[in-house]
Amino acid sequence: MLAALLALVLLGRPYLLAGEPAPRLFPIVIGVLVVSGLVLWNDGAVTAAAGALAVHYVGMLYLRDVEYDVAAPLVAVGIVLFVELADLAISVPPGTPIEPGFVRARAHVYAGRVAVAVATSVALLLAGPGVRLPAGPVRVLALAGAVAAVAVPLAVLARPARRRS
Amino acid sequence: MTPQLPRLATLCGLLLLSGAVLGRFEAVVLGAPLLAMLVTGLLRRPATVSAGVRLSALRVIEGDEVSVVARVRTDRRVDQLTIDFGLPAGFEVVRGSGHVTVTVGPDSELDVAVTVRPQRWGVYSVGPTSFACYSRDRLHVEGLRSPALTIRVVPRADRFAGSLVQPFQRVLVGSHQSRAAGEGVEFAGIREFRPGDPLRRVNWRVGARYGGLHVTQHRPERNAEVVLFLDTFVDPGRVGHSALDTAVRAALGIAGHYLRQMDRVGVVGFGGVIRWLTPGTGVAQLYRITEHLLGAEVVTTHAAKAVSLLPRTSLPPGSLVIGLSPLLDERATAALMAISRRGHGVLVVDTAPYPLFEPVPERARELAQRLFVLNRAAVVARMSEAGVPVVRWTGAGALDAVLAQLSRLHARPKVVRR
Repeated sequence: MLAALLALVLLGRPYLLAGEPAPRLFPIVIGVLVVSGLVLWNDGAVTAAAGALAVHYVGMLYLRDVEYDVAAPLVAVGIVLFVELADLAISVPPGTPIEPGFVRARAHVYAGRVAVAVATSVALLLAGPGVRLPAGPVRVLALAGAVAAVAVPLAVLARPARRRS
Repeated sequence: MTPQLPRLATLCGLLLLSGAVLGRFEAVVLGAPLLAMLVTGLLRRPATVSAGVRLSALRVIEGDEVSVVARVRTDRRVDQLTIDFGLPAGFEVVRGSGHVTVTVGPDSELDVAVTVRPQRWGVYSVGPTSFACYSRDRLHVEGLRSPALTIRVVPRADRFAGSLVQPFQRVLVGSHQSRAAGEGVEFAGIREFRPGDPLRRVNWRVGARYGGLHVTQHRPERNAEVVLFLDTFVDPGRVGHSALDTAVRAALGIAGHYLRQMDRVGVVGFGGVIRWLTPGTGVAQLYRITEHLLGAEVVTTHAAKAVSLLPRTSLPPGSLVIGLSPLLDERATAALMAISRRGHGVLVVDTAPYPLFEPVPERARELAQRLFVLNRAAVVARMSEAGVPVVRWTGAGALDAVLAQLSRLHARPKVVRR
């Protein structure tokens, strides 16, 4: 439920900021919401829904000609929380009582992430568009990160396999 | 590995790649925390977890509470530990839950308990209990399984007490008073002295009052052999209150009563599977009977079954056979009649749940039900005519009237054709 609410906030944010009562991309929003509703029961749907949220965000940057979005870290933490909450909901069978200590521990983790995101957003706001990194270094950095995102899991997964052989 | 790992890797890779292609720092900002989660989560050593499950009792009486306790030890913090106790159907959860999610601190031991109440007798497997330990980033999951534990739920014995003379006795010392007078403790009467009477039997007080010599008579104590005959062909009724449930609880009550009287008690399970326990006496026999009854189950079969399949030792000559049957299968009723013809005293306890049918509005179904009930009544009448009384189980004292009837039948002179 929380994950679906989060998805709704992430999707509605650009329209709310623009003051539009009926967004043009409403059918897309509905489609993504349906996927978000399904995520609680399917691992693949969680990935698809999170991807849809990210694509929606990046697409909105172009559609609305946003040059510099200081809220990007907040959207990022929103997507992370969405993914984690959905994954948590799938891993816990329905009707399972959850210890309050577990809820507190998760709340602390999530609160820490939100705090870091807020701090980053504030830092971006203070820095202003003038200090925006040029496209070249951003591309290199992103490419390196993409390679790491694929390579690190593969390396870690290959380690126990090598040990077994 | 959890589904979270490929999910984060895919999202992170796509976002960073799109950031590289589009040159937007926002996409990189979106992908960066995912990358950080991936790297830190994968480089962190997962916790070493050991877990076990124990039961507060391995043998309980149905309706009693039993605790299932899972003990988890871990060297590092486990953020999410989900336990599935694998409780069998028919176990009512009194406290706690069959599924639990908890957090375990670093280098600690945690006991998680669930209290359950078995609703019906039988042998159950609790578990296997599965443990799923998730790391903080939910990238590692360690699955553990604790082997299933066996719990024996003993039927709650129905109260039973018989006070009348046991019609079939053996010339062995027991608690039943013989119909004939002889050496014993229980008072039988006073009569005039006859030559041969031992002098220590002379009742001097009566002699002083009435004149002449009188002796006190006693009843010798005898024991009996009782065989409990369980019909396991069909089991009508709802779970926990079915015919077999009633039969098992009644059998345990009757067995306990007669074993306390130092009688020998045996059990025969007559149905799809034929099982027997030869008569014995003492507390050990009560335990044997309980174990035997725990294995009682209805195995559907259409094969013909006859008493001849039973070994001779399971039905000793002169034993009293108490049939526990819903009287719905002809094979069981025929077997009980055959046992009666062999010279055993047979009485049948009707264990069918009443009413036999729920009332139905349809005329045709109602008619069918009435025909069935009439047919069953005819079977009961036929058995009674053949000297096999049928009585409904009502608990303590349920069999007294029937045992008295059997006792009279047994004592009356018999016509023998030569």
